[in-house]
Amino acid sequence: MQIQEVPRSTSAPPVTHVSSDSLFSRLSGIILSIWRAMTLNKKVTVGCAIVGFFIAVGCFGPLITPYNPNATSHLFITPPSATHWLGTTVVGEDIFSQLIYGTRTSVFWGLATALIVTVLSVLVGLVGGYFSGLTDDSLTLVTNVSLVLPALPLAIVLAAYFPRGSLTISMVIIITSWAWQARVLRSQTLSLRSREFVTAARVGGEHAWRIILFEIFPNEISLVVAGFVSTTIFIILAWAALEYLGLGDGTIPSWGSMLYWAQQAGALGGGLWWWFIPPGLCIATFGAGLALINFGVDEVAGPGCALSGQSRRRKQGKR
Amino acid sequence: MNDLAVQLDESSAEYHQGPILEGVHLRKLFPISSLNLSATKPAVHAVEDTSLSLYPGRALALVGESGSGKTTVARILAGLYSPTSGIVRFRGEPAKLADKSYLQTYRRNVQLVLQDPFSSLNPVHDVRYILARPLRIFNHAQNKHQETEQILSLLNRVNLSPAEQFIQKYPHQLSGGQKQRVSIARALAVRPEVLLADEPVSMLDVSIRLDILNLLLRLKDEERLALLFITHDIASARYFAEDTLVMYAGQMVEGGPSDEVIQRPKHPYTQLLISAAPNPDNLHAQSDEEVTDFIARGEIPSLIHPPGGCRFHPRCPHAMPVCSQRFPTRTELGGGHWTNCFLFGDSNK
Amino acid sequence: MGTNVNAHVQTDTLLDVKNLVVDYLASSGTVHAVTDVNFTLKRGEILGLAGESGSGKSTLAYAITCLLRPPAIISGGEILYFPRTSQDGRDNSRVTITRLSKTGKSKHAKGEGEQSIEETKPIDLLQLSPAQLRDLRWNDLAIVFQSAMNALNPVMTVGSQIMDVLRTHRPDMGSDTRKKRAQELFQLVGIAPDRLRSYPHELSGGMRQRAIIAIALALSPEILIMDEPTTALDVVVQREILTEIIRLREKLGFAVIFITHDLSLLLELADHVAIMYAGRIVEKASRRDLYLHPRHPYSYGLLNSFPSLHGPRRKMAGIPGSPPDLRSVPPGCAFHLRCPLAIEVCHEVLPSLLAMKGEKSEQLVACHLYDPVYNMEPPTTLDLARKYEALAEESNAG
Repeated sequence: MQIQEVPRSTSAPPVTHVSSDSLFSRLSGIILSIWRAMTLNKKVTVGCAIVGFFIAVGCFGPLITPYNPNATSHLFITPPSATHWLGTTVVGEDIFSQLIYGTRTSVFWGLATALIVTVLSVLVGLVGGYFSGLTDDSLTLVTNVSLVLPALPLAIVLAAYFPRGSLTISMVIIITSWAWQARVLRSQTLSLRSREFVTAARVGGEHAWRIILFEIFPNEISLVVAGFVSTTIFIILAWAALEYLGLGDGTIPSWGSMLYWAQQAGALGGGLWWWFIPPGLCIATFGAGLALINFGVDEVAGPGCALSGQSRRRKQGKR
Repeated sequence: MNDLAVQLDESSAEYHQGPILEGVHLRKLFPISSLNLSATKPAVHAVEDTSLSLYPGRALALVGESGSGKTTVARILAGLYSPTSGIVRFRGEPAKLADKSYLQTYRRNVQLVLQDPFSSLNPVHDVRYILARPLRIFNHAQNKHQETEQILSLLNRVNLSPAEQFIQKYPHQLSGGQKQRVSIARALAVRPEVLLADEPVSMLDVSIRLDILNLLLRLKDEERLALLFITHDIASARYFAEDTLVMYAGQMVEGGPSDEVIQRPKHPYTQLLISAAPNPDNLHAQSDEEVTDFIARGEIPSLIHPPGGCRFHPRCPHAMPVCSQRFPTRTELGGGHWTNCFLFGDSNK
Repeated sequence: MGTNVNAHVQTDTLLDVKNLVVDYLASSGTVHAVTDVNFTLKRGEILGLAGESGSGKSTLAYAITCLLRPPAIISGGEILYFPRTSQDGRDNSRVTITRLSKTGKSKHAKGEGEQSIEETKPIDLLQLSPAQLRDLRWNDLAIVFQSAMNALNPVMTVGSQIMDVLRTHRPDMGSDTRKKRAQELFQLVGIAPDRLRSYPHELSGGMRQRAIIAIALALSPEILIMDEPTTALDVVVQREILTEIIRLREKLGFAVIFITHDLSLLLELADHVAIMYAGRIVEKASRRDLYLHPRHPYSYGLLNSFPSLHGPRRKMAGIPGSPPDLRSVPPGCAFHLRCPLAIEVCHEVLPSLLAMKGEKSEQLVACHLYDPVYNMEPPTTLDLARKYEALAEESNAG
């Protein structure tokens, strides 16, 4: 067999070369490659900007909010004005402050939960895929069972059963959403396991856990990142849905609980648009930002990319 | 020019020392999962009753087509598969390959070079990492400084120079030949006594194959490595190895000193294999209407339900009734040359 | 149609490739994958193209069939195809030619002259429209790819895949005739016709390759281009397929362009062999000339990269270094960095493909050593051998 090596024609830039000498150069190399990844594609750049903005608001926003989000006042149901940028609620809370604090809760819990889900699915997927036999069989069984269970209804039941609170919602979402990605990673691991570099590592005396972590896992990073991003979208939406249904802790402001209270107060029917539109818009924008990242990465990494649209493309015959 | 002949004499001393690694009556079945719960489970009969010995400073070529079980034999010897029956002997002692700590010391001595250099190096690691791992695992390097030094000397040994440049390259920055050299360096880093090379050059460009073969030959001589060279190209077996073993569909059919086996093949399959090999020297004799008296009759049979007896009998021009009943025992032809074929006798008769 | 063609216009030439250049457009600049390639293919000839990875041999095959896709483009040259006139008595290709000449080559000959005269004119494949090319591809020019064995559709029987090709390209053929033709083709390549009902996975690798050849031959093409057709097969099967190709060529008279990295195969199979290096043909000769006295140091090195089955066992040396990266081909002769005989001028001046002075042989070589301007005494094969042997000794020592 022969491998066609040379006309590696696509425009993919070579991987940034990192000399392993000092920590500093290594770090700057990593930052550089992250920067490259972010500016690779317009969609990725826009998505990263949106997500970055929300994270920044979540981190630093509460430092600049004019009011305590839970402080009531006598200004009931005022439309947006110079003092209350997004108006007030029926009990006189400042909606802008609530939104800032809500962003912190929603983004923080969303990302943290997504992280746990991803870690869990990576563990199950890699371990199940690498070790065949009983380990794999039992993990596959558990994965398949939780795949079959309807996620949102189960989450509602579970959330109603356990004491209300962010932790409960987080747990419920973790239980219902890890399986999908675990399955994807398992099949990827199965195919990577049969690659020769894994065989070479085994013959070289590497331990199983080292093979999983240092040989197989690095080759799945892009898949894991993509999975993390789409899991985050799902979690933000599920979270808002559960809170909107009143299964969250209503005392802590978040996008979902704001919608819950707005709905409780009949904001929709009463025309109090400044109450329910901002959190809804936040959810939509944040989700769109994440989705853009995923689409962009897909475009760059996927086949049939960039050059396909170029001129003089001769139509191909049957074969 | 006559080095090879001289080497033969030199190494014959080692020959009497006894083999360093032996496979004795190795047999391997790969069960196939099937929905049919009744009766016996179907299995791929990959290797049947194969015995071979490797000596320090000598190379044994294992020749066969795809599906002949040659790779399975290498993987059994490398401790990747456990044989269904039969044993592996290392330095005369049965190797307890199921024992994890024994396996680690076994791997310290027996290393494998894989066929495909394009997938045998992990794309995410650089050359330094790839070579540093075995050094660290087997405690050959105590500190970073020693490690770098040893990696550089390994790279020089496989003719990758300047080594300082190669140490920080990633696999995608290397050509096919360079990748295979790194693979060989990785196996050497363990400091093995036995090197199993599974088609080490078949994926490489023609012009660099000889370089890699010569490199392995040099290592064999300089470091007294015992080499198992697996190949489908019988001509390179003759070039590379003192001894040759021919396998067909999981069975050993012929073996002995390479020149004997290749110049005077006895088993019909070996004859077929040799007549099929591209041979430009034919040009001397042939006119344009050549096309030799070449009979092939089909291909390697399915190993799930292999033909009984000698598995070559459906394709064999000399097949006899007995060939389909049982597998012939070994017939010694003198000078270490032997074959498993009823045409040359059967000691059970 | 066209039975009154003048016989004398008929030449032996089937395909004439002139100064063909194929480029890959990359962000880092243009890469010349094939540069200034010239060759002619005669009717019924087997032309071997040998080269290593990156030598441009596969790109050339794709270029001839106009199957290149961006970023690869043909940026220069001509590929002239001389269709067989109907006088030769084969009616299969007649349909295409007339159709082609009607629509294709009529630019400068519009409305003037007889159709039949036009037919003898060569067709430049690069000027054809995609539809004409599609027509041409199966009818006159078929290609078998390296991975062709796996190109069969796994959910269709091989028989229906052959008949599909016939249905598309011979819509006038009845279903019975089609079936008969398919059986005929299978018999031709040595598979029992009842295997037409088999699915690809039920056939062995060699049978699948035969089936692919049967499909390629379905419309009796004039040219069969085979890109490493046997690389994925075992030696014994490879031998069978090669024997089959030789047999079919004799029977049907098509011409073959056989592309492989295995020069020793070509020496048995091909009438003429062209050796490519870094996108250029460096030597072109009949197989006998090439075997007996390879001229280019690269050809010699390639020939001697194969250990032989007979004769004394001796230490051999491969060609040092590795094939060049087409993105950075060295100046002058691309081979000079690996060449044991390189002289000063090789570093700067690009050699062109020439016959040796005062020699009538068709052996062409692109090497300054044979050009009296640079080197008065051209090396003999023995000189080449000696230099490579010295190299072997060196590597033996080091």
